[in-house]
Amino acid sequence: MRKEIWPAGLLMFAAGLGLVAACTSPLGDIGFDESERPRYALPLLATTFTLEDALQGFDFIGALRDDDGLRLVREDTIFSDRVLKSVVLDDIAAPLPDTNNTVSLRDFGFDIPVSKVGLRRANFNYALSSGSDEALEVELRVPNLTDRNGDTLVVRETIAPNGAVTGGRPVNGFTISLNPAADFTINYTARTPSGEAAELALAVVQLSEMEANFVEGSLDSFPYLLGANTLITDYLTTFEPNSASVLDARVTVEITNTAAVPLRFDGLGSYAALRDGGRFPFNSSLAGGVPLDFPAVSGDTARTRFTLDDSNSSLLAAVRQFPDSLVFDLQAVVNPDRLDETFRVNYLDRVIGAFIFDIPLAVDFDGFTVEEDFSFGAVDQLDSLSEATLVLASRNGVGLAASGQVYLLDQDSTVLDSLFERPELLVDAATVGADSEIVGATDYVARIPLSRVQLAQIRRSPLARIALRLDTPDDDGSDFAQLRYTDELDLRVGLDFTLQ
Amino acid sequence: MRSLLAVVLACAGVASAATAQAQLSLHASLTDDYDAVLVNPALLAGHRTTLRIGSVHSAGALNYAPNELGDEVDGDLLLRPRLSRANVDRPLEAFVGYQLQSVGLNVRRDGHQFGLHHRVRLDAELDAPGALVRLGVEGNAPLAGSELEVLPQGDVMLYHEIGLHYGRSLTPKLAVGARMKLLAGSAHVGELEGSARVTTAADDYRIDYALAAAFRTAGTDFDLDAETYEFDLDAGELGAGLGAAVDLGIVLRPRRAFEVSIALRDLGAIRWMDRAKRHAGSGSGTYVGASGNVFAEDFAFDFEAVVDGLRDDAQLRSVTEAYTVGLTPKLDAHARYRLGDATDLTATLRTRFGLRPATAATVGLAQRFGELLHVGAHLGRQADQLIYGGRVRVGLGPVSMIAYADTAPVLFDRFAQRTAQVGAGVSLRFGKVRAAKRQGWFDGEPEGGRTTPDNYL
Repeated sequence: MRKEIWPAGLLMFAAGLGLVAACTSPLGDIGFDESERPRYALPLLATTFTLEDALQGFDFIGALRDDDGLRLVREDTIFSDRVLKSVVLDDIAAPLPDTNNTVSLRDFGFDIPVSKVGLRRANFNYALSSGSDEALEVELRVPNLTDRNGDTLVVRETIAPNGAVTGGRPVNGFTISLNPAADFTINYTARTPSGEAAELALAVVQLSEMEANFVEGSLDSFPYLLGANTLITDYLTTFEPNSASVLDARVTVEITNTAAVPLRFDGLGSYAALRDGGRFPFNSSLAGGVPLDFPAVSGDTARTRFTLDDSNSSLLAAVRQFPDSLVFDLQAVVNPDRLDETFRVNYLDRVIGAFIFDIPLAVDFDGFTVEEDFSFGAVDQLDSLSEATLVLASRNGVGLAASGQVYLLDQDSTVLDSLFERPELLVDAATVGADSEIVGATDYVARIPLSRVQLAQIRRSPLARIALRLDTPDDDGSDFAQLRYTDELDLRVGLDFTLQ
Repeated sequence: MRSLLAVVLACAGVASAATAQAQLSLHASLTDDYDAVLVNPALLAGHRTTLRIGSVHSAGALNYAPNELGDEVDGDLLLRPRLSRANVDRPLEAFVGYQLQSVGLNVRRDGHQFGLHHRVRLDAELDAPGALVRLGVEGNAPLAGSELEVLPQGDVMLYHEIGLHYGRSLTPKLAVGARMKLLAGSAHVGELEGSARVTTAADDYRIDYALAAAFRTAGTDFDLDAETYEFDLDAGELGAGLGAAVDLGIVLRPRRAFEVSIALRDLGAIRWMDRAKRHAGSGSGTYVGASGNVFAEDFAFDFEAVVDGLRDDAQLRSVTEAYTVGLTPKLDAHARYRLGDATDLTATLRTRFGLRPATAATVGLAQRFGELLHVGAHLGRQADQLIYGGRVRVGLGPVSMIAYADTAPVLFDRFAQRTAQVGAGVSLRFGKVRAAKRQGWFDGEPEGGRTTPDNYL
């Protein structure tokens, strides 16, 4: 009996010990099956920002004004020149065959219709040669050239027998007075020591390095060349041609004039330099000229504004191409109506021309895209993720919808995969009324599934590129949406995931 | 997230093997065994000297069977969220008991016995809201949109027990006994109270929470004011708490073949002093992840700052404060009717008081084959479940080996059980006590007495 029970007892005892041991881990490993795992939901980000916040990184942010709706207002001065810079005074050299000589400055290319030219600086030079065996006392007199006291310029020299002399003196502050024919008279007298009159064998005078301090006269139809100016419009490169358009854009030209002289803005045209290298020519009705206001007194300011729109210029058509730059040819005409009056232009008188681009951001985005490369950052935690869904819950008060595609890149930025088959709506646009004003915010929840393969890809290379496509809503007949700085987007990002 | 899951799984895990309230099978007639003495010091041992050289006892009870939450696959439990969704409609109630006895000694002299023992005990109770279970098994995503009460209640106590017992028979019909126990606490986590509610928003997953809760720990460095939270329960620690308890026992034999024994155990408490703290949190808020204006220059996702902010919002604080925790009292009642010289009919009732009082009851039959083999079986009800089990003791000279499974189905399909209790031990026994002539339960007993378990009369 004992022998029979022995082994049975030991076996049972061993079984008992095994049972107790088993109870320390009674259910083996406790875990989850691949096919059925708990799903966790965690919030990752809650952010609220205004359009002003979001636009901080854009080139044109400095040009935005929130004035009953967001406007892209860019003011650029395209010329600012003293009027007298157009008055170029070439050197005048005149021989003096007689003791009394009168020449017309017209013959020397001086075609400015003025009666007086104040010289800020100039030199009066002369060269005199004597054929006499006696010394000569020579006196040069220029009645058209008077100093600040009204005294005529007089130069005296002594020439040795059969000698010659050259000389000169500054005539800064002198005034050239001219008759309508621009006659310019230079007389001289030459006398021997005994007082006997003589003539010089050779006499030449020159006015050089003249710079006008003022001009006075009718300035009849004097062309004021403003030249060709290029206006860089790089702030427009944020927008893509054919994917965005603006409502009621206009350009205001503002001319500031301190010269007490009538002007006519006479030329505006040329071309827009497009991003593809092409040229988009434009012109405007300004070709017929726009008279500018002018102050009664030199130094005061008169401003003239005129607006270019689609009715009078093709400039806006050029702007809608969002070019790299605009190239202008500009010209004005002084006293265009040939008024029989005397006008005076002083040295500091200038004309300033400014272009004010005023683009209300009531925009029509149709596939306007923004691309940005980014990194998912530290992705070690992704090792424990089996599958995940990114959830974007938004309340959008901006009149733009955002669709997006996220491309996964390798280290060389080569696209390996994309998260969606086609771009998905991520944020829906606010409701926009017929007048383009925002009527109300729109709630939307977007879910972005991340497969195990995609998670593995992100782990290998956390680089990605997001391509956002912005569209304005068009569900109520309004293609345009008015944007405001205060338009707000409330975005919450969560992650729905299972663990491996 | 992990810790939450771990709590739930730990409960489910132990419960799978697990147990009931008591060593029910010990009462299936082995009332003279050393393990019976451990339960009721009034039950006199059958040997003059018994030396326990080691035993282990593991027990657990849960009101969910593991297969209500998952499936068995190759011996492992794979939790199934869909099962949780279908089955979890009530709070989870769990009890875990684990005892590891190093040594024990019992000396019997006539109608007296005394002895001592040492064992390490782990007692744990958990009452977890159903939402917490579902949260652990399913995750919070499927429950998004619902307000969830997630604060569990419970108590985990790890301590050493050194017991001195004495028992004697006062009359042939009455024996009494008592055990004084010195308790050296290792660690405690418990006295959870209050509420914690969380709601995960269905659209953006923000998590709203409202917390007004407190609990205590001792013997661990856990501190809400620390940078990181860690629980480190070390059974080798002896000085975290100090306490005392008593076990009381009585045995009645009103009739010749009928015996009733009653024991009231673990009447005492432990004063927790070392690193004893009260932790509390009170606040509400919303966790949204990183927040702010992403376009602001100073925007940055700083997870630590977010967590610190949440801590501040929840006003989490820990205060050093000694406290006292009572043990969970147990009542063991056992009735035995002798059908024959080696055959007993038994009935057992056991109640565990505490967070959620629980009761188990069984009837059983025991048969002994001399000193060599004793077997017993019982059938009963526990935790709303029919249970049956048994035990076996093998005696090989002075060596006595015992193994038992109060809930036998756990041996065959442990994933379907809500309770389990198993154990095993080894003792050395010397000097069989023989009852004096005519002092046994039956007439005509042999001159030298009988080797029956009734030998203290």
